[in-house]
Amino acid sequence: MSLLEVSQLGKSFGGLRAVNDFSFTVEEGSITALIGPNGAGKTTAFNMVTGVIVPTDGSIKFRGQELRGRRVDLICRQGVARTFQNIRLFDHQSVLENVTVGLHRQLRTGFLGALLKGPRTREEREARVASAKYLDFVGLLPRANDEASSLAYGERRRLEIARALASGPSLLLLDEPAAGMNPQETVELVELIRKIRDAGVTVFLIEHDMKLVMEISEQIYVLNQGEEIARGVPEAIRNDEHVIKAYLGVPE
Amino acid sequence: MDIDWGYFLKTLCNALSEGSIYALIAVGYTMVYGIIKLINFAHGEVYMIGAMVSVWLFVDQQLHLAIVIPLAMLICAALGLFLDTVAYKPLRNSTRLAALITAIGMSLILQGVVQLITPNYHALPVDTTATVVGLDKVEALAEPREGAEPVAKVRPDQSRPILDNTHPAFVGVSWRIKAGEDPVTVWLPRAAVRVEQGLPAALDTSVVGDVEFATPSQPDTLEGEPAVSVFRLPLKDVLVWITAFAMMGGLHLLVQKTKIGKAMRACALDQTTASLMGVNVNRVIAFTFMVGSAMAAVAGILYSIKVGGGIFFRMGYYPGVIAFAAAVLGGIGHLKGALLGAMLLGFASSFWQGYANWGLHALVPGAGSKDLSPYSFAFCFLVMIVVIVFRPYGLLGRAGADRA
Amino acid sequence: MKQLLRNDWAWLGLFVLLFMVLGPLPPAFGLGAIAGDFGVQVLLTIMIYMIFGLGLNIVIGYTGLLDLGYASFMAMGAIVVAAGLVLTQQPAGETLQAPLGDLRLTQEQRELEANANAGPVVVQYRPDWGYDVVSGAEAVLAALEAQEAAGPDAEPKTLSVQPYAGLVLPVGQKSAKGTHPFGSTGGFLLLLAIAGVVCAAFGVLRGIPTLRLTGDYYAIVTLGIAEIVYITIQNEGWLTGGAYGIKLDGETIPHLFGADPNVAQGGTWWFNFYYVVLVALVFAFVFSKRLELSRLGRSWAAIKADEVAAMASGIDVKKAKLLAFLASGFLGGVGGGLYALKLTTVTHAQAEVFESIIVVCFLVFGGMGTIRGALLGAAMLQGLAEFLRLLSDPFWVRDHVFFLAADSELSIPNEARMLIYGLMLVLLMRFRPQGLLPPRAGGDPPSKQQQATWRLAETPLFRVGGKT
Ligand SMILES: Nc1ncnc2c1ncn2[C@@H]1O[C@H](COP(=O)(O)OP(=O)(O)OP(=O)(O)O)[C@@H](O)[C@H]1O
Ligand SMILES: [Mg+2]
Repeated sequence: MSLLEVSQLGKSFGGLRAVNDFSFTVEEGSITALIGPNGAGKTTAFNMVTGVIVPTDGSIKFRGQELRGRRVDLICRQGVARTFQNIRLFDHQSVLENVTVGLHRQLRTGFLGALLKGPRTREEREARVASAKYLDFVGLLPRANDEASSLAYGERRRLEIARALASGPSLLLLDEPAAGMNPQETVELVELIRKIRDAGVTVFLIEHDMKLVMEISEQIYVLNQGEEIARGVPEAIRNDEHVIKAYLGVPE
Repeated sequence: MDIDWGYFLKTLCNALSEGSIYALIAVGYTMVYGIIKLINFAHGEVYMIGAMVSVWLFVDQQLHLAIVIPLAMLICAALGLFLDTVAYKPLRNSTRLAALITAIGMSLILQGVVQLITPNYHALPVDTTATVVGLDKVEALAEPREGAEPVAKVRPDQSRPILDNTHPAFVGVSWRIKAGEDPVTVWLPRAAVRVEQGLPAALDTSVVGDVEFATPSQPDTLEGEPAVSVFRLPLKDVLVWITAFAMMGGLHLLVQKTKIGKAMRACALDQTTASLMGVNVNRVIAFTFMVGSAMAAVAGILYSIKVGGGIFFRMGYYPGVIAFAAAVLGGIGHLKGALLGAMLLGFASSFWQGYANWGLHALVPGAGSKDLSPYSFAFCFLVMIVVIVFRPYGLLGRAGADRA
Repeated sequence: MKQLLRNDWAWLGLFVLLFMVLGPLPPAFGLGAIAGDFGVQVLLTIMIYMIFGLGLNIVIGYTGLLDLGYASFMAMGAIVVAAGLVLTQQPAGETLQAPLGDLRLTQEQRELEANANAGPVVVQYRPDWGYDVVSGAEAVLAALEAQEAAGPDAEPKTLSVQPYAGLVLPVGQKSAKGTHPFGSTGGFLLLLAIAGVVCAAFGVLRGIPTLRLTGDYYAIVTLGIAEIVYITIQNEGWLTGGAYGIKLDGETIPHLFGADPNVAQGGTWWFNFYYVVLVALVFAFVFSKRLELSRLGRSWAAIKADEVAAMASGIDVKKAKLLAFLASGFLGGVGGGLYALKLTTVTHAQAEVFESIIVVCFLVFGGMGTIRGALLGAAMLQGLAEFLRLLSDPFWVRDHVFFLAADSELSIPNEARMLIYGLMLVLLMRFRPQGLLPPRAGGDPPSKQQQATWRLAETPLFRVGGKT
């Protein structure tokens, strides 16, 4: 059984068919990529998997359990975490606090607990340490106390990854993680993604940087105008004429 | 069951007039919200100032209504321009919350200024009569202050009361028991005193008169003679409807047929694109404020003609919120929606006032003397909440449209 | 210094110190505050409004939702306490003998037109003329007829009647002192807790339909609900006293730590009440602070910043919002309950929209999202309001402004308050939208040593994939 099995996924926005009859699987422990020209429906597919929008048709099975129609936070609790194309950080909180929010589902203290025990609990201490360690994992530890809005672009993307990792996912969805990064940062990002996968987290990513995609993915799906036009290993995709045609139509 | 048609027609008249007034206020909300996504809280105050100005021009300055209307519209349009330039324009790039708080602030400022200028009802040249609601309770509860007589002796019908509005929670009502004697003052909670102010006879006679026709009602069993329920079609209601519909029609033409109207619609769709196409967005927004404010001024005039009283610094608050509710109900951004929503709420409010108690007593036998009519505004608010929660894009709007 | 300015505890300490220094001295010193002492009343108002500020800050400041209906909570808390005190003082069902001549019937009752004329005679005592018949007019009329039949010389009769349990006037046959369930310190605190719980429940109820709303639609819906509450309070006189409100007096106000609120011992009572309010303020502070620093507080901040990202981080947004409404409502109820004792007359005026906006002003002024902002805003603006009240009195102005002539009539009208609040909101949004003491995240970067300790520390919470 694959980790994520999606079948006949479809979404309409009014008259627009953003995604149509899209079936795919993501194998446990792999790095899988979803590519396609602008407006192909990639982000829409991600949004459906993570529950941000509800699919019009199809089913989404994660470890055999249906995710369709489930609430966003419950999907996160199942072990699916994500980053956003248009980076969504908690700007006015510190870098460390951003990660601590990501730890939410791993912590226990509720309303009464907070009132009775106060902030000096073992759990809070551990949460701080763990947040720092996630930051260290993505290489942001020295910036731990800065306001999130003060980070540079590449750092913001890495912070979002750290926050997503903090929820302890087994599947991590990255929406254009390399967008806006310089070549040096991109190299570091490739290393980071590999490190995450090697640690046992399955990675599913959208990316326009073909070099990066070809370098790290094991399986690639290609969407164009909501329809799947190709799937396969990087070598096959590189030479697929449908893919070339789709991309030639839209200069990259 | 026999229906009192005279009463029904009277309620219907009120509903149409109330709806017309709400509609004229609502278009200002809907146009401004459509373009800059701001609930212009101060819009109700523009309406209030329109009413104030019109009473002042009409009664104090003895001007003809045909001059009062355009003059008041001009004054309020200038006020709208002032609001936009001074308060909202500097905040175009800040958060919507900041703009909303500014709007609340402007509303307080306008109310405060008007209150300072006209602190009492007396400041307006209107005849004041006060009816004390529920005399039994008043006698028991009014706390006599400073040398007042034991209140049980006071009867409000003994002479014209003089009102003292200086206290925030209480109204001082003074009656002269005997001519030549000092008046007796009773301090009553505000809600216990129903103040009615009539415009001086000028409005009631020269501009409006009554048309009378009768509808037969059920025979009066006691007397054995058929009673007649008289319905008077007040010409002032007719005046309200005609003016309101003419204004709405004019506004429709302005938005649909003129160049600036086209620019307004373009800005409502997409400001960035509109400005790329050469539309001066700031000027369009300012113009929108002016048009909306002029409409609110007309609403204020019509209110003072219709009701002839209750003109004071807080009067804009409820109609303002209800008109916003009407705009949301119709679908924010649509002129027709604003008209539809306003009419629905006008009907809801008037028919609630007219029939809620009747319905209560028909349905619940043990209801006693419960009075539901004060809940008419609450009913309007409830409608607004239900619409925002379940159909935020309104009756005429489409799903997926922007929702706050 | 900068660190200190950003420290909520330092601000609390400062204010508590000020309240203790400026507040009433223990009556034992003989210099105690008098019940009517203006200064003490002002400080009490400020403290109570600080509690309101802290409560509203949970929704506006922490969760980022502009709530324009907080006055509902303030008023409901006050009504629960006032009604609770007054209701329990009037045991229904305890019969008493009323002179027949003192019973008053309305015209409708005489003609047996009003409802509820049958059944036992229920009356409401009014000190100025006797007893109003609330229901049971038939029996009264029968007794009157019997009396008339007996002739004018017959002995004046009495009728056994029951006191009305309604709230329009806190009069009637009162229970003996000391048996009043909420008449002691403990009883009052219990009643205060009930007020808090009632308001918390109302907050959750009110919150359910608004869960999906943000921004100005949320604001206008809370405003609408607050208006419905206001109209209801005004019209449901059986519970709220309607337009007349509920009056508390020396008999109904609870004893605090043995002090009787009545005149002779009044100073001690006010001293005790003052410190009850101060303790409540500290409680509200700790309550807010602990929530702010908890997992829930982080969820609120995340929701305020970005609801979708918060959800995607595993936060149950609806639950977190409902808990914010609950916490905020609770503090509003407690503050309202204290306010009832301070005001002694609770009317619908407490539920007015302007009351809500005043508290919003505190937060906007002090800085949204910080406890210190709420405290500072309440202190400065409520202080200003009280000062304006002084300035509206020409005698006070004449006596305190040295260059004025002895017969000066100069004063600032009370109405100016609304104007000043409005100006303040507009100017702040224009020039300092973050308020005086805005929240500030972050600080100095962690030291090398700190970083090393973090790296070496072990915790089960750090786990990427299967590995820690
Ligand atoms: N909430 C929405 N409402 C209406 N249309 C939408 C919505 N979200 C996406 N769309 C439309 O669906 C189509 C697919 O959008 P999507 O964002 O999934 O593309 P994408 O493949 O992620 O493109 P890009 O590479 O630019 O990120 C686009 O035409 C877009 O305009
Ligand atoms: Mg995308």
